[in-house]
Parts: sequence; C-alpha cells; structure tokens
Amino acid sequence: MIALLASIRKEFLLLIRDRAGLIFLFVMPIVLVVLMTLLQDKTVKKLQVERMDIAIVNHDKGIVSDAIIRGLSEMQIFNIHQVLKGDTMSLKVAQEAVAKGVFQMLVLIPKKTSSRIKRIISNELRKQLPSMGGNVLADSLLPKVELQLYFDPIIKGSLRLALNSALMQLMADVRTMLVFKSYTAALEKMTGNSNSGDFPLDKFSITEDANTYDNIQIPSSTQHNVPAWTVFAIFFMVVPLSSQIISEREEGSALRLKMSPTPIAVNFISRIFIYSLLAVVQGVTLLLIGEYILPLLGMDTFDIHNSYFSFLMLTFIIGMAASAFGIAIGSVSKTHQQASIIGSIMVVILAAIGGIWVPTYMMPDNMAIVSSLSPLNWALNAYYDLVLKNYELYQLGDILLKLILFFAVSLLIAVLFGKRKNI
Amino acid sequence: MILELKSISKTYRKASEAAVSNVDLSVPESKIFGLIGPNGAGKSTLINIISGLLSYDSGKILWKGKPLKYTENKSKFGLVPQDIALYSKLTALENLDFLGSQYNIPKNIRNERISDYLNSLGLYDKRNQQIRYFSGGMKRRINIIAGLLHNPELLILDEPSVGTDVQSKNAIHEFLLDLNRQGMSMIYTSHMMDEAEQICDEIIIIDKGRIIDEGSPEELINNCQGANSLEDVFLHKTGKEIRNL
Repeated sequence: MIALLASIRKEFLLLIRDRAGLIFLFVMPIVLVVLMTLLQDKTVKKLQVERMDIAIVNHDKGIVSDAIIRGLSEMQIFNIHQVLKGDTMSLKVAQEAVAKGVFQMLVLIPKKTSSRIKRIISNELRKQLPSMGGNVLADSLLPKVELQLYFDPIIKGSLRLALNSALMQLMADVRTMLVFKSYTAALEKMTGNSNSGDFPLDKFSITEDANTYDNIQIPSSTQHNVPAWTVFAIFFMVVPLSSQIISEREEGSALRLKMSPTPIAVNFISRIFIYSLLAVVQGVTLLLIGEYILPLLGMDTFDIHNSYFSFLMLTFIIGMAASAFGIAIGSVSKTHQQASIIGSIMVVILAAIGGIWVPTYMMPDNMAIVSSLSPLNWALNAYYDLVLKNYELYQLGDILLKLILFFAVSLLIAVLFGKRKNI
Repeated sequence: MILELKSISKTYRKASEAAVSNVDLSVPESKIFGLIGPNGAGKSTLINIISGLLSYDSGKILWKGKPLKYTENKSKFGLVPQDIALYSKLTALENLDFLGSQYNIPKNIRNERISDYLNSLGLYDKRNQQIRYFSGGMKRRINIIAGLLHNPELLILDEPSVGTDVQSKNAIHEFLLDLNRQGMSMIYTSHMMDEAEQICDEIIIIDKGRIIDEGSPEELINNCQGANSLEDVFLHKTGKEIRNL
C-alpha cells in the first residue's frame, strides 16, 4: 500500500509538472470542439431529417399540385417554401437557392400537370367504357406527367431515394383519387345512382415499432463534437504518456523500479489511475464547454440528461483504455521519436476511422464496418448512447466490455514488452 | 563471502563471442570489491547479472553460500547505476521518498534515513529543489542515496563519481568508506584507477569477458613487474590499444 500510494503521488506530481503536455491535452480539444461544432453545425442540421426545407415551384396550380403540396405538408417532415424574400420563386431562383444549401430539395410541378392526368384518365375510361362516347387516343399520343426534383448535393443517396418514393406515393394517391372520381361519375351517369364520397385512402397505412426510431437518430453538431473531441483528447494522452515511459527507461529510474520488490504492476496501476482521472477532468471541461460556451455561440446545448455519474464513470473507463494503450506504445517503442510518431499516427488513424472527424452515419457502408474496429468509435458510441438514447452506464454493457478488453490486451502487451526491455 | 559467482557465462543473442565467459569471483563481506576493465570488457554485463537484471546462460550464484533467488532477495541489493536514475521533474526529497517507499520502508524510518544521508552528503538544504536544476555532482550524490535507502547488504556502484568535481568526489568517497566501516559490502566499478586503488580492498581486472588478474591493490602492483600504480598494472594487463567499444 505504501508503494502504491507513493507511486500515485509520483505520477500526479510528474503529470502536473509537465505543463506543456497538460496545455496540449486541454487547449487542443477545447479549440477543436468549438471550431468543429461551428463548422459542422449547418451541414449536420441539413442532414437531420426532422424538418427539411424544400422549395416548390408550382407551374400547375391545379388539383394535382394542390394535393401534392397538401400531402407533403401532412408528412410533417418538411418546411415547404413557395416564396423567397417575398417573391414567388422562379425555377432559376429556386435552383440557385438549392445549390447554396438554402433548401435541401426542389420540386418542380410543370404546367398542365392536373389537366394532363385528367386527360390520361378520361382516355382510359373511354377505352374501358366505349358507351361513354368520345375518341380514344393511342397511348403514344397521350402527354407525359413528370415532376422534376433537384437535390442539395450533400443529401445522401438513400435519403434521395426515400424522398423520391414519398413523392411517387403522393402522385399515386392523387391518381387513385382521380381515377376513382372519374369512374364514380361514369357509373352515376350509367346507373342514375348518386355515389358521393372519396376513395378511403386513410384505410391504407403502415405502422412502425417505436423502438426502431433509435436507429435513425442523427446527433446534432454539438452532440457529435463534444463527445468526439473528448474521446480524441483522452486518447491523445498516449503521446505524453508513452514519452514518459521512454524517459523513465532512458533515465534509468525504470531500472531502479525493477530492482525494487514492488511489482511492476503497481507502477502501471498508479499511472493508469492518474491518467484516467486526467481523462475525467478533460471530459468535465469539454462537458462544461458544451453546456455553457457553445450555446453562447448559437450552437445547441450539450445535454446529457443529468446522467452525470454515468458520464464520469464512462469517461474514467475510456481513460483506462487510453492510458493502457499509451503504456503499451511506450513499452513497445525504443525512442521518444518512435513513441511520439507511432502514438500520434495511431490515434489519428483510429480517430479518422472511428468517426471522430466525420461521423459514422456519413460514411459509406464499408467504412462504417471498418469504423467499428476502432476503440475511439466504441467510446464515441457509448457517449452517443448516453446523449441520444438517455442510457445509463449499466445499459452500455457491450461497449464497456470491448473497452475493458482493449485495456486488458494493451496492458498485457505493456507487461510483456516491459519485461523484455528492462523497464 | 557475501556473494559468489561460479563459472558464470553469458552470450548475447546474435553475438559471436561471449560477453562473460566462465567467471568465478567471490565478494568478501564488509569489503569494497573493485571491478575494473577497459570498455567492452564485460563489466556492465557482470554488474547486470549480479544485480539480477540480466539472466545468465550457465553457472550459479551463491548468497552467503546458498543459491540465490533474486525474486525473494531484491532488498538485499542496492544499485547505483552509472546514469542518473532519477525523475528530473521531482525534487530530491520527492525522488528519495518515492524510491524508498518502493521498498516499503515505513515513513518515519524513511524520513530519518533521507535526512541523515542528505546531511552527510551536504544536500539537505537542496532537498526541495527539482533534480533538473542540480549540478552533475549533486545529481551523483542523490543517485547514490537513492540506491541505499533500503539499507542493502550489498551495494553495487557503477562509476558512482564519474563527471564530478574534486570536492564531490571526495565527499562521495568518504561517505562510501563510512558506510563500509559500518559493515556494508560493496562492488565498485570505475575507469579511474587512482580511485579504485584508493578505496577498494580487493580488485579484479576483467577483459574480453574473462578475469585476467585479482588481488588487493598492493598485491596487484607488487606482482606486476615495473608497475608503480594500479594504472600501470591495468595497462600492462589490458594493453595500450584504444578500444572502440
């Protein structure tokens, strides 16, 4: 116990006296959180499908365009704009606005859309019921009805497809309604019976299990960047930590420790404890930035729904994984340069594939699979679960297990290489 | 004898020659035992083997006549390495307190010993200064204290006074001789022959991994024709050729 407490004190003193390292571990993530949240805010908001701004250029102004606009409004996921700066939008103005990112989608409803659909249906009716009279036109002579869509380039393919399908569905509903009305009118004429009412489209619906909404939650810029850069900052402790291991070995103090009866594990445990506490301080600092500073800059507030205990414990566990990784890098490396290069490159690569810079949901599917191999991704997902799903620590079972396994493997590597290198 | 090495051999991986070959030596109790040799002679290998930091290929080591198990006897050994094996950003007191605690020395005894040793080596007033601000001689003195805080039975000193000024060197020698008078056994390596001649009771000269002569400084000088000092003996035995090792 004497040895452990003294070792913890020693690690604490060495840490607080490395001012350059400390400044680096705190200033860098603070700057990155603020900067990246500001930079990504607009883009991420565009990707959040809760309300998408779409422009409609309506050259039809008939029953079909009215039904489409009403249908889009009723979906409650769109803000519909037909007017920009007080003027009804022309196609050119609307296209420019989409290109600038003002709107995520533009729907052009061409002239005579309503009358053309009616013409096609009437022709079909005459074909089916010759007794109605009138000429039947060949299909090739009938006009085409074609809506035109323009998308903001950042909108993902899957989302475009979904919007396309939604519009096709609206068109189908309108067509069904018009066909139903035409046939009803024809039957009235033929039978003399009055038949009021619309086709009961509301009887056809799809219900979705509420739990599946979890899978499509997209974090806001704040909800992504605060935990992302917390994870990055915690893992970046690998650089000063591995360098400290090398110093201890080069200075010879590691030799003294090896000659003492205190097991090498005591030295590792005390180091991991202090650096995990450092991770908690980093986490709390960035949490406060997210709660109090980002809202002052017009960003969303970082809200962890009062799960402070879970946040602190999770951060401590991530700190354990990162510090064991740092000790492993220090044990494997031979020189300061080697430790610094290996440590920083590995953290940057793991951050890149782990969704720190570019969130996983923006990645291609195959990269998203690669992403799941990065411990930084596990840590980030654990924070997402706290923030987006209101999870508590005990609900993070799988992720915590992965982080603890990573910690154990790193520690094993450190002990094995440490023995070989006389640390 | 406090420590005996019997036919110890060690060849490093990928090395064509043995670093140490069939070395037999006996370290007498309560004496200062000198280990001298040119660069690359095998001194460091031998020191590391004796300290338990390096395994050996063959032979055996006895502690007071019994086979030695290092894992159970770590506290019996103290090492003063040639490098300043201290934390440069900790003060002298913090360094010594930490290193002493690794031997589970109770706090009151630790504090008492640290104060005594710091006073003996003239560093008590500097105890709260970080090591990085110490002069070379001051660092050497703290380095020595760090190796003996746990009161080892055998203190291994690897060039303990290298790079120090005359006053520091003198203070170190007097301090070590005083400890030796109190019964502490020591193994002392040095490149400075006058220093070895002055403080060692017995000396072995090692070269190319083998012991080439041994005895008290007087015996070594008397047995070497034309030699007036240990340095003459050393040059006679190991040659004047410069070793690029």
